[in-house]
Amino acid sequence: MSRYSIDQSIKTDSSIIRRSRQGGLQVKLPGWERLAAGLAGLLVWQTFASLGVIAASPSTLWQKFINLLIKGDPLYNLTLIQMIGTSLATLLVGAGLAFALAIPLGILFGYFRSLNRFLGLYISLCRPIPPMAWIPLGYILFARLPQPTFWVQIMVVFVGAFFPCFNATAHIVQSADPLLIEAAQTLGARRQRQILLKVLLPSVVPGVISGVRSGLGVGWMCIIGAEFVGGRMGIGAYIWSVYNIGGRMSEIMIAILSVGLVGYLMNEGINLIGRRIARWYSW
Amino acid sequence: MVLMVENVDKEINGENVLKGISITLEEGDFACLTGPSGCGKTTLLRLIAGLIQPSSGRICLNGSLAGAKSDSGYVFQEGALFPWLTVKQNVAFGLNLRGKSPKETRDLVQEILNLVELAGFEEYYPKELSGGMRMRVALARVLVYQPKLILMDEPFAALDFRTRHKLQRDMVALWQRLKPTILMVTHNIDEAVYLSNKIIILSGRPGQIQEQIDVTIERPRVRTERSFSLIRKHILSLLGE
Repeated sequence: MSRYSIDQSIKTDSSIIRRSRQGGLQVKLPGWERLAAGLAGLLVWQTFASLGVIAASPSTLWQKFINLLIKGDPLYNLTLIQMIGTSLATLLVGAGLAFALAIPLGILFGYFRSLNRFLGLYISLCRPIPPMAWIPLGYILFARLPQPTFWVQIMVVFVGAFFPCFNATAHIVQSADPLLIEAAQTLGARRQRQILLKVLLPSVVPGVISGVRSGLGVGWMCIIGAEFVGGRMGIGAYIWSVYNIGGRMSEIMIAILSVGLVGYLMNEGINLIGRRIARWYSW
Repeated sequence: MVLMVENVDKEINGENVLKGISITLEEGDFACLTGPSGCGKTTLLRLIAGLIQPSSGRICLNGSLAGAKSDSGYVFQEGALFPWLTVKQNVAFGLNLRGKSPKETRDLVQEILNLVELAGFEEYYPKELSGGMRMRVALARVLVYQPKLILMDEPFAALDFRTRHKLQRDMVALWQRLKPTILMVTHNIDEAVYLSNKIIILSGRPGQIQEQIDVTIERPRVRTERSFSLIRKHILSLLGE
């Protein structure tokens, strides 16, 4: 038997294990582990608050959270949802542009090895640059546009979201099973276009979905940082501003926890959508 | 004559993998290709499928030179099904490429799925099927467009004993019904004798044809019969076991 068949059996084994674990713990006992972790966290937090280490206890924070959610912060006349919405809008534009470029480029780079050799240097050079490092350059570049800060924020998110998506896409194209391409050829696919449309593109869908997921994650981290330099009152700008006007601990904590919550929800949402779109894949 | 392989040599990376291979298959032949590991069986199959080109010699399929356009069907080890397509879509793949109408495709796919006993599994994805069922889909995917020659690369090797025997029985029934020409690579001598009417034995590197045996035992064949074991014994002795 060839190496291929061994790989194959490992693949099916791991998918069986994954499936049974899901069926066993996550479905039959819905999240009791998470519940326990949440309660333990609250207990530790409450203890620290009672000892005076942390200014806000869970209960006061919860009240303020509800207040911020419904009434908003009177100093800014904005609710938490409005601020998160502003940040999300920036994220969607920046990450959307990044994906629109990263997915086709990733496919091209993954498919044409020579292109990778030719331009790979630039990718490898730009990848390690922290997205925030582009901020000053962005200000100079976009100085003449009507809203330079907005475009700088878009650019930071763009840089953050681009590389994870590009990498995941290029990688899955490279690891496309050559046997499936041969199978398509023996079944009568003669033209490159047929191989591309009927074999390569469908096979990269799971990789693209996980690329979009991690791109959104990194982009979301970047938007918060990008807003520290000013601009519209998104959640990141709020955190910094609330700190500057007097270090309001509870508001800061509520804001960063909401950032975490939104990131988590986005991640789960993409997972859910991915499972729907690529039902055939062993996630 | 469906297949004519004439004096074919194949070198890969400077090494002689196949040397002076000549094979002819008539319409309706069920031939098995066997030999020691690494003797170039799969390489020969890939040459005939036009996936690679011979270093010298020629391969004719149905009278024209084999190559990228020749009409053969290839059943891969483990099936090589497209994981993102359902059973039905996998089987329809070759028909779609041949520009068949949706209705014709639907009818042909359903007919062949009934034949390979997969009716009811049309909407399943490959990951939801057992190894034996995946092999049936792979077979149906090729049978459905009625290629001149079906090439099979150890299709049953990864299956457990019972599934393998069941598939072998079904394979014979399908062959008797549809009369395709088949060339199948197998390590399993027992399988070769059970299935084929021609057995081609390759010797070790470089792969050369050692002997071709015609198997004329009546079907259904019984593995414990004397004529069956005699042929097995003969092949085993040729392979030095």
